[in-house]
Amino acid sequence: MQPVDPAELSAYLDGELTPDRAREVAALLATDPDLRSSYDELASTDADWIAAASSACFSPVTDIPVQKVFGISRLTFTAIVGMLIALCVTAKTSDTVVWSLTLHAVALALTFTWIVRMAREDQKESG
Amino acid sequence: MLDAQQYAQLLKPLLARAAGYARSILRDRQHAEDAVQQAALRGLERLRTFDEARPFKSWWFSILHNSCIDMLRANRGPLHVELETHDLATTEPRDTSDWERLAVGMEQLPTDHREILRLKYFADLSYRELAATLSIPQGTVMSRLHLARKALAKKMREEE
Repeated sequence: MQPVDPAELSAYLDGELTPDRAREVAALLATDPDLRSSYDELASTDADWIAAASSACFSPVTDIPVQKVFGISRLTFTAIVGMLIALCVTAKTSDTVVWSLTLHAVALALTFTWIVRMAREDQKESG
Repeated sequence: MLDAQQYAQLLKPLLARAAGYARSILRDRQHAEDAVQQAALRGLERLRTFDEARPFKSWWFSILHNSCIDMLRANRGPLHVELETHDLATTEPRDTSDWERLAVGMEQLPTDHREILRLKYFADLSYRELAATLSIPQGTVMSRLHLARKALAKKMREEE
């Protein structure tokens, strides 16, 4: 088993060694009191720094203009609304009852999908 | 290529850390918030330059770093005046928080040590992400981080 390089001890602490090497280092730490002492000191300092750095975090107010309406692009939103209007107009002017009913059903399905989607977006935003 | 919506989704979980990272450089909450906002917009404008083989976090924190440096340069005069005024006005030493002490300690180190420590502790980057952000091999990340930690520990002991 290779001795532990001090830089490797840092990497072990960060969980960045390969699983095999991490097992070797763990075994050496269990048998070498000096190495254990160095590791404990390193771990204690590291924990203090992590806690200190975390205390600098806060949730910034950011505005990312992604040009979206309810999670889809404005263009898609406009296309869907346009398609619904076109379907309704076509259905009204259609000669046959079957064709008219079909178009109304498609418009209704699209509207329903749209409502479900909005509800999901609301749920996501609320939590 | 990422679209704007995907970009926003990837960015959202990074924002609190990004604010902490920016704050460690700028030492001011409002300026940190401005830098994060600026980096968020810059990232959006540069989505085409994002290489999906590279970690998103590395790419975006590089942009944030540059925004912080730009802001630091732009505000150098006023910020210094504010700090000097504050120091002169107070008779007792300012109650420095833990993160500020850590940031001050890092600031006194050579650039390569300072950058890797800020990215490790304030931005919480992994070795892979550090390697991509700093354009160095992962082996170098390991050795540099170790040396930087030693140097910071020494500096912090001296400050106490």
